[in-house]
Amino acid sequence: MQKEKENENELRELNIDDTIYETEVPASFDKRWAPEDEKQIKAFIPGTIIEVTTKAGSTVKEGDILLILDAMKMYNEIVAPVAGTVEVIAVSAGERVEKNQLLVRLK
Amino acid sequence: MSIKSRLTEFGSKVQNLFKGGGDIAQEKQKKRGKLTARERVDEILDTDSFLETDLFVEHSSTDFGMDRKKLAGDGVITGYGKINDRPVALFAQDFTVAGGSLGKAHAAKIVKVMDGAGTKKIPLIGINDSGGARIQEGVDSLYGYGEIFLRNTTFSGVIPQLSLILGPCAGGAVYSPALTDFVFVVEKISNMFITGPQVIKTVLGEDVSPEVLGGAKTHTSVTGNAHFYAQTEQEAFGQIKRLLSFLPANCLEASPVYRSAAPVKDITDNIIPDNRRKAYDVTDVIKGLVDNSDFMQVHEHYAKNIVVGFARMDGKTVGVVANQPRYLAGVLDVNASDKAARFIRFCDAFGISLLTLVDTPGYLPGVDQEHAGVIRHGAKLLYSYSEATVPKVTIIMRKAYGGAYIAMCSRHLGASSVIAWPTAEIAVMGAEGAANIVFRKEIAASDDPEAMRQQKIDEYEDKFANPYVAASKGYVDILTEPHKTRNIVIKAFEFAGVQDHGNSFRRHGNIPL
Repeated sequence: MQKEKENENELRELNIDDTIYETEVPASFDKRWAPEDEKQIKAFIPGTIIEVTTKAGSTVKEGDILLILDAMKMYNEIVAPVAGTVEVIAVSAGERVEKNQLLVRLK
Repeated sequence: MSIKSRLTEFGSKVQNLFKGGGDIAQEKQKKRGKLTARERVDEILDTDSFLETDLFVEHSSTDFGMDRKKLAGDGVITGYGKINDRPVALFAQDFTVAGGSLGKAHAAKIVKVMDGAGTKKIPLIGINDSGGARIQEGVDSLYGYGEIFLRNTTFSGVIPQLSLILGPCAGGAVYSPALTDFVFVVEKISNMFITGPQVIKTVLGEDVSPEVLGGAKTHTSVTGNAHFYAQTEQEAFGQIKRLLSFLPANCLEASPVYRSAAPVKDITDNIIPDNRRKAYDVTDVIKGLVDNSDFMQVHEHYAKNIVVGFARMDGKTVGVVANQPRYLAGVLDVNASDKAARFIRFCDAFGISLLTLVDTPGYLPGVDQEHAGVIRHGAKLLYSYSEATVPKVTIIMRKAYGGAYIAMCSRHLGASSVIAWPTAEIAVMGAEGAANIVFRKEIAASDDPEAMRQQKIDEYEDKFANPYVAASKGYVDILTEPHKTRNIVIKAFEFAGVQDHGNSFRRHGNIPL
């Protein structure tokens, strides 16, 4: 919020179709999109790991269940988004995890 | 019982009911910096115009000890009154009575006054200050919300519906305001969210204050859920009165006509900068065109790359839509399209003519925009302009490129009149971009590509960056200088008839949502 304030009324250059305009640009505009790494499986919601159903080194197919995350009063199956080999399992059963915490990394 | 004692009894009953949740609760409300529900009704309506209904309504629930609880007016004040001598219907939830919670009787009072507004065809004002559903009444409170949502929807486009959020408005309760035409919020008083900070903390571990999650600033600048931001309740009441002055009582009547008045400061021919890359504030142009320079912006702090709001031309209300070069160069994007489309549809529903001012380089490029559905959202702008049958006058001031030219109420979408200034550039795209594409081979093959590029840009600019190509094909109806524009716009509106698409047999169109 504070940063947005500072930039207010300040004119910057903005390129639209190769023409450079002088205009106000909100701070949020500077965030750049980056592709998501599908092999890093992160918690989409905070919760508790109920069970880890895979092992490091296992080969998994797309859709294979990797672990069960208890959140929003539901046992959520966390599945492999792509096929690969389980490189790291970063959590264990009973562990409480935060949102966006790394759960499993595939290779 | 004698008449006298009956009257005394009546008097003391009324006095008690007027106290709402009692002196202590009223004090608490004031300590929060809030007016009481009754003070709000008094301040918003013309003096002595309020006709209260259902003051004596009581709830009939018995669970959880409710049978022993008396709730004054069941936590809501309802009735009719006048604002600047024009009738309105209104309800005001009373937070001092059981937290303004909504039970069956409370909802029935609101429903009754809504039905009153619908049959009398007068605007409805809802003052929201409620903790939400009255849990003790169970599914009856859900029934209540549903009945209100149904009416918000069936009266949409029939009567103007205004919502003031003057306290909490959480959970399902937010959807009544969301279904209405305009939402007013006040700093440090208004809070709107589906799930509050506590639930979010528990479920997601995200720590956020009610203000940041769903306060007045958030809803006017981030979410766009609210249209008008005020520092105080009184300021919000003033905004409501001003807004109503532009609006008709219902879709069958015309807006009030005022005496025509010249702008405080007319626009001069150099209102826009010489350098077409330089920014300027389009609200200066609007104020230089409209009566008294009186322009009321809607959604002022949201999607600032497009400006929408109400003004008058020759005494009659017009809805203004304008690209804002001062912000993000006036590009069209997801939020700007949503904002403008909603406004255009409101104007069309209530017979308010549309004045469009064009100066936009096109759509905002970016992965974010594409993934946010700029195709679907951008389509709303095309849809709403094409659908609108009210008189539509468009002024092309400077850039009108490509798809954005079409979208900004071009002749092709059914504008009644398209006016352009000599500074207008109506082309498929800007000179730089076009030269880079059309003359790519020549530029690459040149010994001095930069010089060649500049030469081709200049050539393209000379040939296409003007209004004359479009005017020669009849895509622009009238060319004029800025200082003559006001009079031409007034004439254009005068001669513009209401359009008829000839498809009134259809149930309704299917706007991309």
